[in-house]
Parts: sequence; structure tokens; C-alpha cells
Amino acid sequence: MLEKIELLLQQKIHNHSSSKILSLEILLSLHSYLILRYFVPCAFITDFTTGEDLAKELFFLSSKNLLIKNKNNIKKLNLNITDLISLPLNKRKKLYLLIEEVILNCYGEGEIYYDCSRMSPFCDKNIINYIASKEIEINTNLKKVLIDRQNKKEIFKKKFDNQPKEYNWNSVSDLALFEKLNELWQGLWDSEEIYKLYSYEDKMIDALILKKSEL
Amino acid sequence: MINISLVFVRKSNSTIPDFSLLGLNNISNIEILKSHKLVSSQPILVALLKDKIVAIYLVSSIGKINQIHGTVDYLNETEEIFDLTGKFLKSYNTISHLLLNTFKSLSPEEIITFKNYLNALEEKIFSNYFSNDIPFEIIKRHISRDIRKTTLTTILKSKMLSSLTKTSMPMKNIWNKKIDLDLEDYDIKIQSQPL
Repeated sequence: MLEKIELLLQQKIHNHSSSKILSLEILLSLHSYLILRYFVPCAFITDFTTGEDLAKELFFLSSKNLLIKNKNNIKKLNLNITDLISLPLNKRKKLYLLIEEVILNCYGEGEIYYDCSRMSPFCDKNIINYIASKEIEINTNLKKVLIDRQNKKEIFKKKFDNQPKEYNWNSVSDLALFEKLNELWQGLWDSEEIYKLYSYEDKMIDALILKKSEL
Repeated sequence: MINISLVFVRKSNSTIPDFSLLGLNNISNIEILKSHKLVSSQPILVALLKDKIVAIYLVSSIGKINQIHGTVDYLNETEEIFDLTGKFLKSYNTISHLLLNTFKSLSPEEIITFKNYLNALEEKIFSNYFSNDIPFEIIKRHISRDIRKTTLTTILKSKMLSSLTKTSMPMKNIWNKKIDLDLEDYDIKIQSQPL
């Protein structure tokens, strides 16, 4: 089955395949499984990406819906999810690099961005700096939430400097601790409500005032 | 001719531990493993010239490679690596799965506080059981017995044992999951041992 996907990807690169099967959404879902980030919100960022697009794809989305979306997209390709995630790294890497090539070829210059900081305090990415570097304007209140998340990440990292090191073989207890801390973090930052609530704070207050005045 | 193999390390439980590389026998300078901080079930890449280790590469949990012994990077000179971990993957992945679920029953603070005890327990379990093909329920029973034998508090033991009991057997493709090797800088094929 993977050979079939590889063939489809190769055909798409060379414009020999219709784009219906491998749409951008399906390619991103496949990429997320191969890179083992199928539970992390992701977006394909181009020069035309707006703050609203970013908010919709990265923040105003629940993990549950994200997983359902990714699973359904993989089902459309007749692939088994557990087969995908248990592939050896060299095979996964070959395929996800090919997907990146297809996306660049078919959807123009851009970058696949995963909001890993939502799922782990040990993620090195700083979304505030990234958004600024791409000159994307986002809602001021949402920005405040992201700055708050970034600051909390630093506190978390200082308290628990236990993330698996890139060049270390980690013990099972290290991995257990890492997963526990990530789960704790996700309890705080993995709800879309936290981003929605604060982003619409002013509107919500307006709505509440209106309701009160109506009474 | 240089032969490079991906192997699991096994460290004995004695006070002066002995090392062995699962799948490789009669290595004349196996003692050099003692000078590196290796643990049981850790995968490493070893380059052998006849019966002598000439290079050792650590493999990280995400497959990154780092040479710690030998002055020549033999990975530049080879076209293939022999993966000798296949025979032990089932035991390795099963024990990892059981231990991960067991340790996750503890709070982060508990894991940090008792880290040395947990590491010692983990090391003992891997050293004793992962090189043998033991059925799932028997491994579980062995781990349960080893947890009971530790000097951890009764509350911690009870939490861990309860979680261990509830842990079911991993799926086939999970226990067959190979060790990741990130060979992006090298043009090398991995030859796997048939399972």
C-alpha cells in the first residue's frame, strides 16, 4: 500500500495525477502521521496566510476533531494508521520528505507548521516569533494568550528539565515523566476554548452587556 | 572488511557488570563497553574488524547517531548495516510498553523523587528478561514480582501493580516496531534479520 502512495506522490510531482485523491488536507494528514504529530494542529503557511486562517487551523480546533479529521483522511487512502506510525524512521522520513516536495510543487512556496507548543511545554518553537517573522497579524487577545502560553512554557521547562535529549537514549522512566508532563500541559493548553474564549473576550463581554440591558 | 551491526546491549546485574551484545559472539575486546555508560536494552551500532570492536555509535531514542569510540567514521565507508535487533524486538517492545504504563501511574513528582529506584528496577527487568522469548503473562508476573521486591513505599507499589495488571498486550505492529535509525547523512541500506 505504501508503494502505491509513493507512486501517487511521484505522479503528483510530475503532474501525471489528478489532485482529487491527494488534496492538501489529505497530504497534511498523511504527513502528520508519518512525522508522528497526528495529534498536533498544523497549517500550511504561505505568503497569503492570514491571521484568521491561522487561528482557525491552529487554535480554534479541538484535538478530538483533529484526530477524527486525520483518521478519516487516512481511511480515504485505504491505509492502516498503526501500520503507518510503526514504520521504521527511514521509511517514514523518505515518505514525509516526498510529501513536502509534492506540497511545494503543487501548492506553491510555503511551510508546514505544527503548533507543538500546544501539546508539549518542551517544544522549542516560539510561535510569537514565528508569526512575527511571517508578518501575520493575529487578534490582539489571541496574541496575549499565546504570549502567556510561551511564558508558562519557560516556567515549566525551568521546573522540569526532563525532556528527552536529542542525542540520549532515554530510560522508560524518563519517557513516562515526559508523557505525564505533556499530559499535564495539554490539560491547560489543549482546549480550543482557551483560545476562543480569550480571543472573543471583548465580544463576549459585549454580548453579556447586551443581554443584561435587554433584561 | 568492516561489518557494522545494530545490536542491543545487555548488562548483567552483578556488582561488576559484564556486557554482551545480543546477536554477536566472541568479541575479543568486549571489555571496552565497560568504559561507556550503557544500559541493558540500549541499542548501539558497532563496527567490527574481524573479532574486534573498532567503533561504537550511540543511538538516541529518536534515532540520532553519535560516535563515542573509534577515530574513523566507518559509516562513511559502508553500504549496509546489519540489524540484529529483530529477534529481541518483541520482548524489548513488550517490556517497554508494560513499564511505561506502570510508571505512568505515578505523579511527575513521584517519578522525579524515586527516579533512581525506577531506573534500577527498569535495568534489572531488561537485563533479566528481554533476551529471552518469554510469554506476555509470564513477563507481567516477573515484573510484578520485581516491583513487590523493591523498597518503594506500599502506596507506590500498589499504584504501579494496579496499572501493570490493567495493561493489555500491545498490538503486533507495536511489538514488532523496529529501532529507529536516522541515517540521513549516509547512503546506507539497513539489512534486517528475518523475524
